[in-house]
Amino acid sequence: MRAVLSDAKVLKLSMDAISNMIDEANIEASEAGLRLRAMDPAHVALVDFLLPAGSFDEYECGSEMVLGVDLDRLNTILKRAGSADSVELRADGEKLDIVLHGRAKRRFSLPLIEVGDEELRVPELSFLAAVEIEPKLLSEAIKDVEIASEHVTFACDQQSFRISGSGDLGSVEVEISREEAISFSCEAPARSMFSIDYLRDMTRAGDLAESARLSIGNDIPLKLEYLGSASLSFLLAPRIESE
Amino acid sequence: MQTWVEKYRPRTLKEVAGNTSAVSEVARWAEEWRRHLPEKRALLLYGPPGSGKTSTAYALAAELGCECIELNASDWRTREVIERIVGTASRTGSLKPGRKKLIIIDEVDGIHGRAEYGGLAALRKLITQSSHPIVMIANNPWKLPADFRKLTRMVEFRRINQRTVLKVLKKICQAEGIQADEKVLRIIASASSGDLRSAINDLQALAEGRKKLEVRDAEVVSIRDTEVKIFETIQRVLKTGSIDRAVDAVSSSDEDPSTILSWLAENLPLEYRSADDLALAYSYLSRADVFYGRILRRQDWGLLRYMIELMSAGVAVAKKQKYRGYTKYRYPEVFVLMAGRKGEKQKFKALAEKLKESRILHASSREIEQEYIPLLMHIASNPAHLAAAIKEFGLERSHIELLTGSKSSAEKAYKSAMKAEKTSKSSGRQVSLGEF
Repeated sequence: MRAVLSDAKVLKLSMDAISNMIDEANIEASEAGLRLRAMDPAHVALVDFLLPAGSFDEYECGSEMVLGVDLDRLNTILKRAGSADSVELRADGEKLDIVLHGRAKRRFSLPLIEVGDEELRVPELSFLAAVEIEPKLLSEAIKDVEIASEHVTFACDQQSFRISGSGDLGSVEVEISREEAISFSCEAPARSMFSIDYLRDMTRAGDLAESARLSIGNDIPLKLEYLGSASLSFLLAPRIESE
Repeated sequence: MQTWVEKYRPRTLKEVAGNTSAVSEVARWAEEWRRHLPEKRALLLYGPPGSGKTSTAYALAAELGCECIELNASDWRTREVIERIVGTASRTGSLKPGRKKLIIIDEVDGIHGRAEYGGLAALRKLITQSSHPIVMIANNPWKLPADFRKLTRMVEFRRINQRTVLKVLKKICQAEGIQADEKVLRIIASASSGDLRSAINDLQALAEGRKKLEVRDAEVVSIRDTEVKIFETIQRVLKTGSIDRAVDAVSSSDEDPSTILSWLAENLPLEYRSADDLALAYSYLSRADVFYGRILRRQDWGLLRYMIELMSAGVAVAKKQKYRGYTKYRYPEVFVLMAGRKGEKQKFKALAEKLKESRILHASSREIEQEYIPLLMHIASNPAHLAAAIKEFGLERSHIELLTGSKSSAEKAYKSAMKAEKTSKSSGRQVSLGEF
């Protein structure tokens, strides 16, 4: 497998978000591109990251490969890439070479590891509302809520989409009107609560896309999709009010 | 290397700092010798350390152009030795014809006890028969028998006043080419409390290898005050061969005996250069340490005397030879290492205390510290188990750092554990994706 990416931003941002939640994962390389699907150790979040072949400047993949990677290490290496550097990924069966082409050619070699394949069952979910907003709006809202709470409640009705949280330190509510959203659909009022730690990590990747699409229901997982040249989507299990 | 005390020892009586009346009395006595045998053939100079007794004796010898016959405290002063060295010298002429001799006996008040048996009697005989002037020196003449004192002409030396000490220090700085802030010298002078020798030693210890002494060094001096005192103590133990002097050095010190023990342990090899001496000295030190252990365990401070005698007299007599010259002593490394560990020790203690409070282990904090924390450290080496431990005991980030000994792995473990932890905390239960 060999792939060249002249703009490494997408890869850097996604890895930064993912590696915070997931320590190691299998990256599947196929003709379609690179795909990473993994669940965090607590089985609360599921990541589906696809970097299609077309988004690379050069991409060749003879046969399908599974690259077991320590994401933390990979992220550390990618962080070394400057904004003008192009990134080349090369894999044989034993290691993943990351070559940063800039004024110098910097080659990093990352040994591949054995990552246990867990069965990733993507649940069937019936969302009640889907809102598409600017990624920045979402990440800022999370930061706002974080001031008061460890948890975020997403709520949606016909008029608006609200991101709120409350704790001992007070409460915060961010309201995004129907008009402000890029797209807005709501069949019925929906409301779910989530851990802010995960959302903070997930929204770090915000800059890689023009829009963030949130799908929510009542006490069911949240689906967050960043769709751009790459697609990065998360599924996050809610916190359910205990009776 | 030459000590400055030796190097700047006065060569004439006039140069002797302070104690003018005492010095002129010495001069008068010497004058008597010139004319006839004086009534008292021996002089007994007495007074506190560093007041100029020894310097006066040597200055006298130099002024008279005498050959010095010395008998120091570090020699065994038994009757035999005194008779051999001083006795023969006092009755025979000098190798260089026409040259007179001056017999100087330092620390006469130290001559007693079994080891120096008969020493005083031999001296008594010497004094009454000597054809050479004898100068004896003592810190405390009242330790000597009254009839012995009566044989001598006693001259008292007093503490040297600070202005005089300061003057001498300035002169030495000038001669050594050291630019010293007067404040520094003043602090040294006042710390010496009239002991010129210790003041000069302090100056040398401070100025060694420097050309400049500034005010900020003055702070060091005052901090080093205790250090300087302990320098003196160990110097006395290491240089002397006399049991009494050595024991006295340690028991009269304000320092904790265990502190002195550490200082001795650190500095022994700097002073004792013969391997045999060193081995023997260390074996005495270790026995002293055994006693210290017993003292602490049983709280039986009656054992302290054995500890002190082993570490002082034992170390002092362990040497078969004298080691002359100035030795720069070192601060014991063990204190530095202990101080470094102190913070960590405290952290472990705090952790043990916390675990005790949690009442999960049903053990005292001491037991936790000794029995459970090592176990926890082992558990912490496995991330999965660590996460469970964090949850079970409510460990904090700092605790994990302590247990794993690594900042980054602590960070990681804590983060993942906290994520899981939050699921069980307050508003709502974190469910997993598998439930859908």
